[in-house]
Amino acid sequence: MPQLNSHGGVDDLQLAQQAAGGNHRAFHLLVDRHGQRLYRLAVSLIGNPVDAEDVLQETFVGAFKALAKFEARSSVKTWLTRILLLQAAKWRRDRLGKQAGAIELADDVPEGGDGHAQVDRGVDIQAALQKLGEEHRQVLLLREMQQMSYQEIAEVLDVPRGTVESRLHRARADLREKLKAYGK
Amino acid sequence: MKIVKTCPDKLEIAAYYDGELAADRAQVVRAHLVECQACRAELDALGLISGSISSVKASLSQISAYRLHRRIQEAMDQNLLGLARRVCAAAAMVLLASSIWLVSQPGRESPAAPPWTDASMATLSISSDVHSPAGAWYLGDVRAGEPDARLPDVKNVND
Repeated sequence: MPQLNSHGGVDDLQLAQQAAGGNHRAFHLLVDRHGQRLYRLAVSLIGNPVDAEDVLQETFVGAFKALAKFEARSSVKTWLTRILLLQAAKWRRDRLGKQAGAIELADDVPEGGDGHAQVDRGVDIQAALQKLGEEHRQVLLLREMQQMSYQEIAEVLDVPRGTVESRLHRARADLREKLKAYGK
Repeated sequence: MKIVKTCPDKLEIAAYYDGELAADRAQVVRAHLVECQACRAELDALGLISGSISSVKASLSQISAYRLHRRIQEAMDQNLLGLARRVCAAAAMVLLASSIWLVSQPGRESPAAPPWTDASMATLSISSDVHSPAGAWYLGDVRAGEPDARLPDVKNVND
């Protein structure tokens, strides 16, 4: 068994295998490697840092419990990202279930002159992202934020590569329209 | 160098922007972009989208990272606890099965019953011990014609 070191000398797959064999430290190293990247994705998917942190925790707990089933058919990065998307979708379903009727996701684009023009650019982008459909938001963030290739995105979303291309195109067009509403 | 006169479709421009086009096709699109302002505008728009999304800042703080590791450690500990419980349950089952097997072996003398089992043993043996005085009294096995030993002697009471 290769020795762990703190300089990334062991690749993700080896760490996952060691963690599956009972080496908890190996799993904590995986968390350190992917935590920041996945947290950023979670915040953009969820829209707020508090719930994003919960989703991130459940992602890694879920990954730990599923370690024995990980067969390395995809990379650890792809596998963890897929779990995060599932957790985020679950969170969104739960949230919508609790607040059915109280949430207007699509029609509250701010209008000029109402004071919203001064809000932070990042917040506007975040708000616009939240108004995208789930599929569009996912594909866009995987490409733009996670810098994933079309093939990697196809693996994460379990769709054909052609679907990724068309979905990404529509997502960008959709976001562009929504950003226009913010005067970006 | 061959330059396409018709514009590539937007999917292809996006694929070029994302670095997903094959090298030869990318070269053709690149050459077209030099000449076509509309396609350059499309490329610029893609750049704006990327810039907008990259402006979203989110960083896992140290305290959040600590909470994350702690939550995972709890899951690991629960996992170990569950494993320990399963091992204990399995060990108990093996012990129980072994005990039953040992007791049921023919020709083996039964060990002396521990004191705390006396009462239950007595109760269990009643049905096969009805001819003992106590058993007969309890079950009402009184011979016909003989005074019922269970009844008090009323003659003596009247005196």
